Amino acid sequence: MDHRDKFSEPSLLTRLFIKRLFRDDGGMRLGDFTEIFNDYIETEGWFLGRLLFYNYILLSIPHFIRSSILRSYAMFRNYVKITLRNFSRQKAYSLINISGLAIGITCFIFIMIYVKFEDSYDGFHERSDRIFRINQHWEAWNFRGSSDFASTNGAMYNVLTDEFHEIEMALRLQGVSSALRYEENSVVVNGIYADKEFFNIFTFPLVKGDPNNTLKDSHTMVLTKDLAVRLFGDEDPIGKVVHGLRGLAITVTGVCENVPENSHLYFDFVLSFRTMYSLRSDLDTSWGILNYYNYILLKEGIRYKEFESKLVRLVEKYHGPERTVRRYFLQPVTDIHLDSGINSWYGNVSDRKYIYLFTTVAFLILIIAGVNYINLATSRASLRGREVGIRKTVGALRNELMKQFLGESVFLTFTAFILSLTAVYTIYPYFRDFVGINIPLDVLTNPLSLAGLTGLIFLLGIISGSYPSLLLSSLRPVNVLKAGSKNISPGKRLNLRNVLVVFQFFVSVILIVATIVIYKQLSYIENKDLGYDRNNIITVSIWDSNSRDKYDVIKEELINHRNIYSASFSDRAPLRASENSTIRVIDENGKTMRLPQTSHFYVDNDYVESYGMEIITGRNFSKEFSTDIDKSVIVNETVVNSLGLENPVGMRISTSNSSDAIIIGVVKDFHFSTFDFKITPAVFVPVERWGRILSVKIAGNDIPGTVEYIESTVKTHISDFVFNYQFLDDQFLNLYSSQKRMGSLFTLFSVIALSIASIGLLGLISFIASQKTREIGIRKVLGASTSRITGLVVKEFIILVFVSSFLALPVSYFIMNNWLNEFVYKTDITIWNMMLSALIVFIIAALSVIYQVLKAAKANPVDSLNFE
Amino acid sequence: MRLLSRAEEMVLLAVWRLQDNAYGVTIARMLTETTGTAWRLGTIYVPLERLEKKGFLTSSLGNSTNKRGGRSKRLYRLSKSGLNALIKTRNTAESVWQDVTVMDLEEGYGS
Repeated sequence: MDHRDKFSEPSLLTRLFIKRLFRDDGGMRLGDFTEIFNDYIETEGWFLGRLLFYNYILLSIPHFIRSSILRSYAMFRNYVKITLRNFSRQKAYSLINISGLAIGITCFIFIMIYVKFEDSYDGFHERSDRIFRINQHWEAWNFRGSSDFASTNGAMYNVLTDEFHEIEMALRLQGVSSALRYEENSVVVNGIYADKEFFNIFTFPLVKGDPNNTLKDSHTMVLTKDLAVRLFGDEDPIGKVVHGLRGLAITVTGVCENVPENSHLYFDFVLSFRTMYSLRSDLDTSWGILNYYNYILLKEGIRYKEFESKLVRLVEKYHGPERTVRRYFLQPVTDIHLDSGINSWYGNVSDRKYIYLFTTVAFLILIIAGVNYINLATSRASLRGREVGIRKTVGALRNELMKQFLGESVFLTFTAFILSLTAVYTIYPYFRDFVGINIPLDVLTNPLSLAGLTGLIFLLGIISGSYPSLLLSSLRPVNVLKAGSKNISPGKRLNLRNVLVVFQFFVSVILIVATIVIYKQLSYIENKDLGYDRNNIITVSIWDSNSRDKYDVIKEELINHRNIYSASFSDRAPLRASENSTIRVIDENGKTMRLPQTSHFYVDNDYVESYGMEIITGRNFSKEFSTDIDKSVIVNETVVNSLGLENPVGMRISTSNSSDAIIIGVVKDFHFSTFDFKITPAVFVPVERWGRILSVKIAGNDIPGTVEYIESTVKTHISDFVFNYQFLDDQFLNLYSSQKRMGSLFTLFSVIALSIASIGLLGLISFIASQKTREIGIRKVLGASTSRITGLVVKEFIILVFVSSFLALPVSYFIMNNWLNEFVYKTDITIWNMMLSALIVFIIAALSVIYQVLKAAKANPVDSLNFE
Repeated sequence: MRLLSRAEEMVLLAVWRLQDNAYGVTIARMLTETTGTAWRLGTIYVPLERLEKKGFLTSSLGNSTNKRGGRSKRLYRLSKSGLNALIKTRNTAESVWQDVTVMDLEEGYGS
């Protein structure tokens, strides 16, 4: 208390606060508070006094605000009344506004539900922030344009926790699909091999079994709830033995909850990784293979970026000479789903690009809806002119008027918001079916995202209301109240309306061009000559390796059926390449040429025929030549072209299967990968009695009968056979399902965007037509024809649509060309595609305009001129 | 003329009682002392504003003290119409209360 005058002041911040909050008039209120402040300090001392004073201020606030609100309530009530009156007086206008906004918001919510779902992957693991996958960058191999691989070796698991004290737990896993059989129930399902830490690192709650013990032993497995019911019904599966892949007998040790939809790991069962030891001997020693996925759980408080750099020790110690080309890095488990840049053969992976794309579209649709409001509200300005004039004359401040009009637009947006919430709940089941994923509706149940959404809608109301409110509140009473001045025409500013209309149709044209191009590319893919025939081919998975000696008999019996043309056993259909290794070709001069990353297809004599492939030089494998097995190879055109071979037939070749074979033929290039990638080198290696799938080429008629025949034929020869067939055509289209889904989503969005824009245009035109009633009447009296009058009004909008197309076409060409460039094999964008998009927009705009204008133009001039 | 609200009535009375020394702090203090509940500055500013607008109170700038950091007081006085309003409110209240005793009230509650 060393103040000279013995009295002190509250702190600057407190003073500012008081002044601001209690609307101080010339410091007198602050004076009052200062007095109270000094009273407290005098009686209670420096510290307690201050505390009590702050308490005093805080307790003062609610009273003050409540009584202030009571005062402004009366005005507020008046605003609400006026808003509701306007609402009911101009029903059509309000309907257009609200429905446009509601459609836009509904669409926005759905897109956000989808985006949020995609972003939520693997967040359900309790320790998701500490779970990482160890990926590697390996320069020796470039697959699909990337040298980053998610798959690593099976050996590091044994050293990870010893080498690095930062790692709490580690595990390996590998995907597998298998037929499982218990008594007479059998199924074909997907699963994974995983180490015993699986249920400790990841959060897949066990319904039965102990998370520490379930996967400890060889030949043990955990089933999901669903699979347990499918195999065991009501029986308790624990301790029961299931017969699975390669004839293994596996004991069930646990049952876990079904895997959530937003998990990048998908499985129906988890098989203990130790089981793998009975199938492979080099697991712990082979550091070079890329078959397994290693995950780690870091200890708490470890920064993964810092830890990551220590992984170089693994390379130095175990890979030795590869130090320069190999690097290990970590990827948070929650990033795996959206990162498609890392090569991976297991796991549910999508593309972040689509998420960005959809978010952009969502906001565009919202903006188009907001623009509608701006356009309609400004063009209605003249109707509100009188109200503004009178309010101003009576003493309303501009500030207050702005608040009134902003309030109106917020009110309108919220009405639309509530409508769209109802719509979302109603449409949700269909949306779920459409997307094909069981997406949770948590955007609407989670208070945080609901609050965010509400905030956004509020913002939309404010933004779309701001221009109309600025415009309306700027009107001068003298102008608007003058008798008969109906036209307030605030000069050139109304041109903003034209700019906004152009913007709406600009976006619509781009979306439509995008839709057309996406569809064109999709149909291009569907109809492109693949180099093989994908129609009427059935593939059947064969899991039992003990029946290989029956293959020839099965094939023979199958071909005897009149609807079966050909049958073949091979390791896979020509849909995707998985095994790549280097081949060596020795030409006639003895020169050896290496060709890395060549796909190996293990096929039998009938493969080429079954898939309708074409041998362009040389011959196919044949029973006639006993030397074919192990000693002959067919290469594709790409091999010949990449190595520049002039006369390939007869050259010596070594593949991963045989070091001393001869090229006997060249097969015409066929697509065995998606169209995002170029056809790579491939070889057909003949194998006798080897194969995981049976491909059957059938006739197009009586397909069910043929399928039945195939089933019974295979079953007579292979005991315990689970018949699981697919049409090659379906599998092929599955490869493009994400593109297809994007295509249909895009169509939906562009239709919605276009319809919102058209609704706005409809409202605008009907208003303008009504404004021009008298002009039209006079023109008609003077002898103008209906068509001439129509043309007069329509002309302006034709120009706007024309301008937007003119601006949008180059932009959309640029965007879509970029998108197409991701495909190696692609369609082209023609001038006609662009014209078609412009034409669609043009027709829709014209349709919404012409009806209104015709109505006005056809009206009897007697009525319209009698109007006032 | 509409009747005064209870808060307005009390603020007017306090101003009348304080005579030449009626400003924010003293009004709040007097009301706190007479009613036994806490009346803070925030509670009385809005009624004061409203009463002044209705013309029941007039205000003028008063002297300043060190305790107020040198800021002047806004002193309030009751106007003629304010006085009338007080009298009318009191008369109305009395006529409403006429012939009602505490005992009547308690009996009515009991049945």
